[in-house]
Amino acid sequence: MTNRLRTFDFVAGLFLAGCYFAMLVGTTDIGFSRDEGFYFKAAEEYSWWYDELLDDPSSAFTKKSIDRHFAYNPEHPALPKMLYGLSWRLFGKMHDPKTEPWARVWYHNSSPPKPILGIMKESTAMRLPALLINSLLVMFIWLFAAEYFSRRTALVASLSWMFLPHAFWHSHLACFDMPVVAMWFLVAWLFLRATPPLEERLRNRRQTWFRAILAGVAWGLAMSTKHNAWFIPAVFLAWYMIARYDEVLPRNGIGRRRLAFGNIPPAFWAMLVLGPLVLFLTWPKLWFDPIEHLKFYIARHAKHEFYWAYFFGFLHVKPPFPISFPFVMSAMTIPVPVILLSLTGLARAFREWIRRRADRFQLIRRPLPVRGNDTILFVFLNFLFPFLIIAAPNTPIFGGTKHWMPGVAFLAIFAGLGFETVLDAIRGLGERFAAFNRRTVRFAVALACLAVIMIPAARDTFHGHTNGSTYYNAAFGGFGAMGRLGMQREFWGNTAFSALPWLNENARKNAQIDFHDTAWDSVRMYWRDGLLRRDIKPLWDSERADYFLFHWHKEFLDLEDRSRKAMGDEVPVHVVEQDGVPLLNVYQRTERKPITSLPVVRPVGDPGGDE
Amino acid sequence: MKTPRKTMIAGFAIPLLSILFFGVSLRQTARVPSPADWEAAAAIVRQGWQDGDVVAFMPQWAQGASPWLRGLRVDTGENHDWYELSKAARVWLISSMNGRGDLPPEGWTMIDSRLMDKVDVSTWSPPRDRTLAFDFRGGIDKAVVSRTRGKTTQFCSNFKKNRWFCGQEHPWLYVGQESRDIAGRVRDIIWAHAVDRAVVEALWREVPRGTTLVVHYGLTQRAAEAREGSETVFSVLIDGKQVFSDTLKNDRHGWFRREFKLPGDGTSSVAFRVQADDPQSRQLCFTADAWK
Repeated sequence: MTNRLRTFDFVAGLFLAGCYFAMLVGTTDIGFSRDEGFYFKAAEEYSWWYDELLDDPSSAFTKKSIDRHFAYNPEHPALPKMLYGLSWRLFGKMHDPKTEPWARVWYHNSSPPKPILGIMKESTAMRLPALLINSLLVMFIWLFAAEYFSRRTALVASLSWMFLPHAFWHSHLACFDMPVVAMWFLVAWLFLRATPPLEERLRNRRQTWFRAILAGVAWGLAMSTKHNAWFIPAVFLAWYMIARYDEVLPRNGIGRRRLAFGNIPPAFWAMLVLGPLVLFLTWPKLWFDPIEHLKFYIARHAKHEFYWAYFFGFLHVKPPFPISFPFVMSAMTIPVPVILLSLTGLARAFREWIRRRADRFQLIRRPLPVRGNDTILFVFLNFLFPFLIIAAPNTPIFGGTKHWMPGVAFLAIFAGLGFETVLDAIRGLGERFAAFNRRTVRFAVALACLAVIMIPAARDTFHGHTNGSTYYNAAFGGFGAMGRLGMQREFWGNTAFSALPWLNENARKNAQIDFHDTAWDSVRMYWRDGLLRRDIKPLWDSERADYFLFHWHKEFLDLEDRSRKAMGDEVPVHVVEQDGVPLLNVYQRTERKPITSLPVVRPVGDPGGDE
Repeated sequence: MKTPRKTMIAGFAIPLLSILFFGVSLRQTARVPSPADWEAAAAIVRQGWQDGDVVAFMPQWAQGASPWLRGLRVDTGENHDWYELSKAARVWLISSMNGRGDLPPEGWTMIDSRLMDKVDVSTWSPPRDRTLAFDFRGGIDKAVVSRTRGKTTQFCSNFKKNRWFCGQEHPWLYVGQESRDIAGRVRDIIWAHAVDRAVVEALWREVPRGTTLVVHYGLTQRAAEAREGSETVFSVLIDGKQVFSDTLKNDRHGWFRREFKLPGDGTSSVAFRVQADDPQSRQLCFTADAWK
């Protein structure tokens, strides 16, 4: 049995999701990472397909049309980029090359579409679907926790998720990493709803199948978001075989186990059938050559290049990568209060699950508000699995924390359960001191405790949010951990954003800038958003550029040295730092060459695709 | 049933530790110098600047003051290299955050110190027990570079941009000046990439005697990460006699130091040899100085 979700739960979940959306929209001063630049470009190009769809629907579904519009970034499913493109078309405030001729270079085919509503910056319009999906995740967390645990768990879990600096930072981007977290969570919730114990499924066949279909469709959408979703069935299968193997392998009259095929939960069947179907329908590149494109897709990610990761002063460039990486990085990049809650919740929940499995209920002094014997295991596996994938020594670790974020959303549930221990302590206070025996007093103390736990996490989330991907918690020295412990600093080219005001103010007219790790498509969006002076020209060549923006990555230190020597100045003219740790150095050429031409040079060998 | 004491301790520890770490976090932010603090520190440095000085930071990664120090010699390496800093006449240390109170290694003498709100500026004199008599990297033009394969020795006579090439210029097969990330920072070094089936030798004929030879060597960060090729053998020869040899595994990180006495008067020849069975990415680098 689960808790019945009521209108209040949807309202509360939606309210918190709204708060998160407001938090995100209020903090859009976050630079464009390399991959986001690529997805801006893809979204823009894909969006032209909508025109063809409206003008000539029959030709829109031809191979020629699909190949033309969806050629770029084929290594990721199209759905998020199609949404970003659609939102851009609806809400984006584009520039008109007729009145602003210089804007031609900013757009695909040198001309933007006509704005429809034209009410927001182009990057914000692109990001809007991601902001919405990522906000909805807060509601999913509430609903899941309220249904399977309690409303207090739901509240603490939702807040714990909302105040994670890295998740918050990534939630701004028009990328896939956080939308797939939302989708994984949604699929898990729908799957669990569709997979109650066998007796209940048999009792409510219709409802079970309806929920199973929702889970199947959701999984298809998750796969259409990012490839992390391919691992979801493995988690569910592992859970089912640990928790419910008796359903599919019951004992017969003589005690031997036999396979009861009909007892396999409908959710598995729905996922098997509907998942691939939805993936196929929402990814135009699959329409004409599904097998070949899937082969390309799988091969691309199965043999992905290894990105560098700077971890405790050691630059990891190839396998074997440290197994501890996702666990230690999470311990360092989740605010201390949320870590404490999560560890308490994990320890307590796991102990209780083991006791329940062993039918040793008498040992459970204060049971956690858990519905279903195996819910804790389900949440635990969904938390653990994404971590394990990255912990595998041969998996590229990419330097960031986003790739195991689907697991962190489930860790937030354990944080919610961890708060039960705080509540027990308050109850104990009431047992010992009469003054705390009153319900209102205990409530007030609980609220105060929640505030002192969440305020530091909230402060960590907002402080330095522009560089939120470089956050390390106070236990490891705060942002200073980057320098002191030799950890990853910058996250793939986004810090150029913080140098733009300085460049706009100080760079001479028509200055040529080597943007280093910032992608060409990100620079185009800076222009379009009015964040970069239009006369400033990107030139990925520090031998010739007037300025070099060195994004602080350990692997680029040799390049920095060469570049500043080429610039003729060893000392940066401007430093972007977060809490005293340099993230980006701007080097200025000492001698100014006479400029004979003003080329806009795209980076050589720009891969045009990223994680 | 009464709530156990253990549960109460655990329950209240969470908010209490949260408060504690909140305080720590606020303090970590509060001690970060502002641009005005950096500017003030730089002004002090400029005021007392003399030829031969260098600026470093404590902790070394806290280099926010750099833009105000342009035109001066500033050590912008990721970590300190106290050995190289000791070649300066004086070192200005700009200390901030958790570096305040940290000191240079033993033997350094503080000349002056100015304590400010969030930044300290101190001036240090390196150990004065010896003086630099010969810098091998600076004297790269005096090196005799060769490659020996079996009984055949090829002398590398093409000297361009402070690098010795054996024949035409090559992107990595040379012996000469370079700067590379090695063991925690970019260092100015002599690059001596191993060569296929050959022993690379760099020889300096007239190194003053009555000195101590200080040699540093190691693989570049890139080479150690790449874990390619075979072990690399690095040897030091004084007057034709091998006095030291080290075999570096292909993933060995470090910037290793060895000292050798060059007793007596006059000069000695000092040679460095590099060889590897498989030279793939065997980017061996070294520096050497003779101190009187």
